[in-house]
Amino acid sequence: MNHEEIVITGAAAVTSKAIGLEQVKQLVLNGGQKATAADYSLKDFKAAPHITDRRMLKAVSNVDAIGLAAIEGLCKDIDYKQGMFPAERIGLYVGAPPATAYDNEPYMEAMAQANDRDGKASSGLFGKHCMGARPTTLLLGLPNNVLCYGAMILDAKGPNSNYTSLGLSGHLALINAARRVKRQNVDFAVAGGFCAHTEPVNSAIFKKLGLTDFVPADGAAFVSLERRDGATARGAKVLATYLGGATASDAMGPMMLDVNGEAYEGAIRRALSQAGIGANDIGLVLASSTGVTRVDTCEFSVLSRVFANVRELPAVGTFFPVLGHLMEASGLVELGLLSWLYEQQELPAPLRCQGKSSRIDPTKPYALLLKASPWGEYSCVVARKE
Amino acid sequence: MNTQTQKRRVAVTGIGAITPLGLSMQDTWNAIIEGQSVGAPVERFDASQYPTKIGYEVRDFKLPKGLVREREEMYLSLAGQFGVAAANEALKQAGLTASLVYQPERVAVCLGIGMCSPELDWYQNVFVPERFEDESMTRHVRFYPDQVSSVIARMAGAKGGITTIHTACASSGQSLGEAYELIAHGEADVVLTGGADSMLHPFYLAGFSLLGALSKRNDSPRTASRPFDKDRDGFVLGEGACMLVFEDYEKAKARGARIFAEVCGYGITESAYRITDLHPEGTGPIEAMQMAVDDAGIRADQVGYVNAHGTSTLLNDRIEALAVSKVFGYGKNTKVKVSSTKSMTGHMISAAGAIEFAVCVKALEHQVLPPSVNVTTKDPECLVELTPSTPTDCRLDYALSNSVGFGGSNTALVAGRAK
Repeated sequence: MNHEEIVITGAAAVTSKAIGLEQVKQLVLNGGQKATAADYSLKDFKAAPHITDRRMLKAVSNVDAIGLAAIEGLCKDIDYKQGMFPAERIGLYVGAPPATAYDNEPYMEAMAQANDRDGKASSGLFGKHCMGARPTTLLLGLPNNVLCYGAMILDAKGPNSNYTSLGLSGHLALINAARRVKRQNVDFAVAGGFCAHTEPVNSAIFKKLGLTDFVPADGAAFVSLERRDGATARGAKVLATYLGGATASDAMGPMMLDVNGEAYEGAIRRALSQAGIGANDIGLVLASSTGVTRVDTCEFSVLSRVFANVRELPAVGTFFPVLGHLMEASGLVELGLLSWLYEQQELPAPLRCQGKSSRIDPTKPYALLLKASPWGEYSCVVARKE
Repeated sequence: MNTQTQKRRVAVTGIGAITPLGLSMQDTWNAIIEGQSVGAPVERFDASQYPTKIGYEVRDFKLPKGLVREREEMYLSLAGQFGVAAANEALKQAGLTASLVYQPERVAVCLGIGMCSPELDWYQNVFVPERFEDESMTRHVRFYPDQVSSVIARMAGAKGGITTIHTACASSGQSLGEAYELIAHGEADVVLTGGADSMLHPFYLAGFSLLGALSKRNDSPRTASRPFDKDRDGFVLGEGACMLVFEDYEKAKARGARIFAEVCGYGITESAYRITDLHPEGTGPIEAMQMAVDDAGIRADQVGYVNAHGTSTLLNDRIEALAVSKVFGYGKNTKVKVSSTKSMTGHMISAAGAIEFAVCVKALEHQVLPPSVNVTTKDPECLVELTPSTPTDCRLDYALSNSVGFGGSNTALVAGRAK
């Protein structure tokens, strides 16, 4: 074991049917296949049992509460106490959904009264009616609320960031948190993401964008990262080892994707190179497999090239059918469950990809965690089971 | 303990800006040196019913024809349009538009993008099914900040990954810092970085008004943004974009690129205190500035100029000044001069950190201290030595740009004179 390795010491998830990794495992084993966005909705999420600070709870929107509940869940998972690490040596990296404002009730209440005599939206009338709203209206919609309140929960005063890169945001948080741990800028980092994309407006937008096979979900997932020597010294459990991560873009502009996936392939090869391993060492691929035909076609074409010279192909699966597309929170639960999946020796049925191998070779302990977006943006994380 | 081994040097080889002061970086810099302030009544929409009716709008801006594809233009919010125009200027200046001299996978994009809200009528339509059906899909995606990054990555031919950051007013300061680190640690050779924002929108004029953060000097819009002045009463919303090309220093030198300055150090912290307020002792910004100075491998007394976040709010200016004084000294104990160019640009929010770092680069290039504008009587509780009210020639080796954001993110960036 390399003592400088970065290890995952905790993981937490909040999804529509499962809170915490144990419940996700049960969900996977019970084969709960979902079909519609409503199945993945956390619209009525009751955050109160999960968030300790009542004032914080009052200050945030539902989607932020989902994110903060996952951070609190992570704290419980690793028995985190403020003061375990020096505050300035704790990093927090978050993937957050973009600010939409249409979920900001005071704004929308003012909008409802902002029609002029011709039925057109009047900024003057909006301003007039909005001035009766509560002073903190603006703050309800800040995309970095979870970063801020999460930092308060953790007393994290070190490096931080908040990514609004849609489906890649969670991986960006993870990769950048790992960089900080590797450079020894921090002793402990928390990385993850949160989202709520099942509400009607957003679902309708996805449909308008032609993403009809894409089933958005609500949820959050966070993991903790440390150097192995530090984790070992404090007797922490280790869920997996993070070995490398890379991102890439097709540079073709919005909603455009290179179906050949050259940039995607490049990201996978760079991540493998960082990890110091080859395709032949990979026992498991957890694909992005979004359900969007052109993205999935691209992804499987890339995988066929990456594994072209490998005698026995790795197992290829996806959490998408079980959890829906968690967008900003996606690609993270997988890290927490990696070693458990290897223990199963075979991918549980709901995670399998049609026509792909499901047998997990225990002699190949390395896994690829992939993300691909219809925007032609990609990420790849390489991890090893513990 | 940090691992600082084998860090590569990072050069600034291109800057572009669309600001209330001008539609290029040069025009913006000229206006800053002249001490211009262009605060004015808001014209883009009817602001008569808001307590604050003034702002720093970008006027006479039109996205140059052919710069982006027709479909891309429809995807872009106003902030996004500012962003791509500024990126075009920066890429041209760096000589990276015609044919890339780098492998595309070694070119990345790292941007701080603000809230890209569509027009009010979109919000009106969104809850009415028949109107929503009639809406073209392009407006729906305007509030995805990643659209802007995606168009700019296409323009730059950047296949090395796209990062879009939102940490409120610290967004672009942080994007510059992350871009610097990507090159310094060998993960990229070139990064197109910066920020774009336009919160001059009914939602945000209302939202900031409700918070009590905005100046109400509606009768004197040019002097309403007055950082460090005794009679300041809040900030004034601005808008715009600033983009910079960061490049591996040795590679830039080898290809004969013009180097405007060097990016020398970066500090990033979280206050973990309150969503809107700085800690009264200035913790957070203090550590970020110290971290940036340490990262640059210099002493604090080698920094000659600090471009403060300086929003013109009562508490921010006082606490930031305290933080600056703790790092750089005060009175006879300091050589550092401080100004906030928000007195001239207004608060460009997610684009603020980028334009203010660019001002530091220009100050180093021209060896001139930008003037402090709209300070009639300096607040005695602001413990900083302000730059004079007229531009002043000086010997300047290093300058530091501060950004602090709602949500507690603090960044500091050190720029060094090109050698």
